[in-house]
Amino acid sequence: VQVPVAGRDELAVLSENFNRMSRVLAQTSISKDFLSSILSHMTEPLMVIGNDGRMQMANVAATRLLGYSEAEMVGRSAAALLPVEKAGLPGDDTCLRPVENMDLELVSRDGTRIPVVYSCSPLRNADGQPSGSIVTARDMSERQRLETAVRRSEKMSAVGQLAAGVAHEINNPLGVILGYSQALVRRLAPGDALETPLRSIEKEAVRCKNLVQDLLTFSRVSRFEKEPVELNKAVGAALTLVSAQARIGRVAVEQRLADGLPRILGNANQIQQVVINLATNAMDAIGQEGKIEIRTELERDGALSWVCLKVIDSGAGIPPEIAQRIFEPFFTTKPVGKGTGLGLSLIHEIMKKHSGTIDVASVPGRTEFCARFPVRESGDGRGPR
Amino acid sequence: MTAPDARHPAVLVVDDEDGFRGLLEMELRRLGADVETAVDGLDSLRRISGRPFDVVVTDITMPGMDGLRLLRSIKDRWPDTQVILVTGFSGVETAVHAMNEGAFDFFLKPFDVDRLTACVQRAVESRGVCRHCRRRLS
Repeated sequence: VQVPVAGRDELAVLSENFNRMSRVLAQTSISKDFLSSILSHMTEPLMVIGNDGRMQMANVAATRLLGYSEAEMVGRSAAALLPVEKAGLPGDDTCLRPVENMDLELVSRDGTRIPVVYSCSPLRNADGQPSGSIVTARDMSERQRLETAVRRSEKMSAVGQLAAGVAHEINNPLGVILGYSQALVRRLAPGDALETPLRSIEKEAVRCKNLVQDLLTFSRVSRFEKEPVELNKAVGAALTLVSAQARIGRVAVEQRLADGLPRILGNANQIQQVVINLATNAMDAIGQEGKIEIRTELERDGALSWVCLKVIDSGAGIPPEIAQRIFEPFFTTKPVGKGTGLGLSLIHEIMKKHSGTIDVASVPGRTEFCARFPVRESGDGRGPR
Repeated sequence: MTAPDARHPAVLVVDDEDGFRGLLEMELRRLGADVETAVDGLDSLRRISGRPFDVVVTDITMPGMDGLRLLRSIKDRWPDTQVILVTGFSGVETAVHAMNEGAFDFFLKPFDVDRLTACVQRAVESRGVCRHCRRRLS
């Protein structure tokens, strides 16, 4: 607002002073808006926590990261969102010391723990008295996920190399054990007391043979022939094997296979291996009685589309701390002799070679594994309609 | 074994692992074969030079002359002798390569002993057919 200045009298001086004041005020409010716009639009989450340990301000990135609205954030106790004792915040003895780049976990609205790089510096009022803390927290989830993926794939390629290296050495003695035990069993008269021990030797040697073959699959997955594969056909073939096993227990296997799925470019044997391993795991998770559902469907995401294989079981579910490790080679929760810890990591490797993904979502009573194969919109991948 | 000269076929088993040599020797003898063993490629060439063999069963990975080189030498000098290759670890490429070089069959360890002995019998029979054809042609 400006008032006209006429003449040089006292009134005019007053008017001029008023105008100057108005301009300064306008500039102040412009710079205030400017600052608040910077804070709210910066990509890094930023929060101000008062001396009472309550949230005074949170920018858009912070509310987005934690899943709250701004109104829900303001006034909320900081202790509900982050470990105050580590974070150098008001309410803590060591408060008012700056913290730089500390690895911390924030807790989002749905209880998810979000890894962040955390920094905090004390705020002081005009009298130099501590008035709170200003906090930034850079989201590290994506980076952590990538690091885990890299570590996992390094471990897997090490397994593959190791397997290729030792397979010859293991297969030779194994072949001798297996061969002699088979040869001896043939020489026994019916009902011979030695039959059981010899059959055990044979059975255990076959178990070792299968383990070595699983390991070798790691080193061989990288070199396989790809051809157009109908996922439903591969699932059907694999389920013939699985259903026989399911009938032994009281496990119902339900199929919901989508019609007219496009073909995927891959290796039918390996895709069947994915189905068998997922279904076997589901059966182990269920135990005595329950249900396994096997679905195939088409998923579209913009220009991309995926053919999905879902294996859903009614088992106890996978606790989150275990879920993040299940694709690691040799990680198993099954009793000794039941699982090698290679089934899921093999699936992971096979999916990687098919340019696909494998994910798991689990709550008690429902675990869903989803394997996604990319669909190529032109060429051989196009299937019958 | 059926053909008159196939009742006691001469079989050479080549492997640097004595466990396999012993196993195959025992099982092939049980079927009436006249079995000799050798520990590597050169050892087996010495034995084949001394007397004819109907079938050679050889490991691929051996010190010195390996099974694939042995196969080539045998096919050059004794084309009627059938060679069955056995390996602890190799890929499809090796198998294809071996078959192209004239191998009769290819086994991956650990294998079913019955399948291998049956394969030796087939090799002996096919050797008889080969020899008969060669005689007719010449």
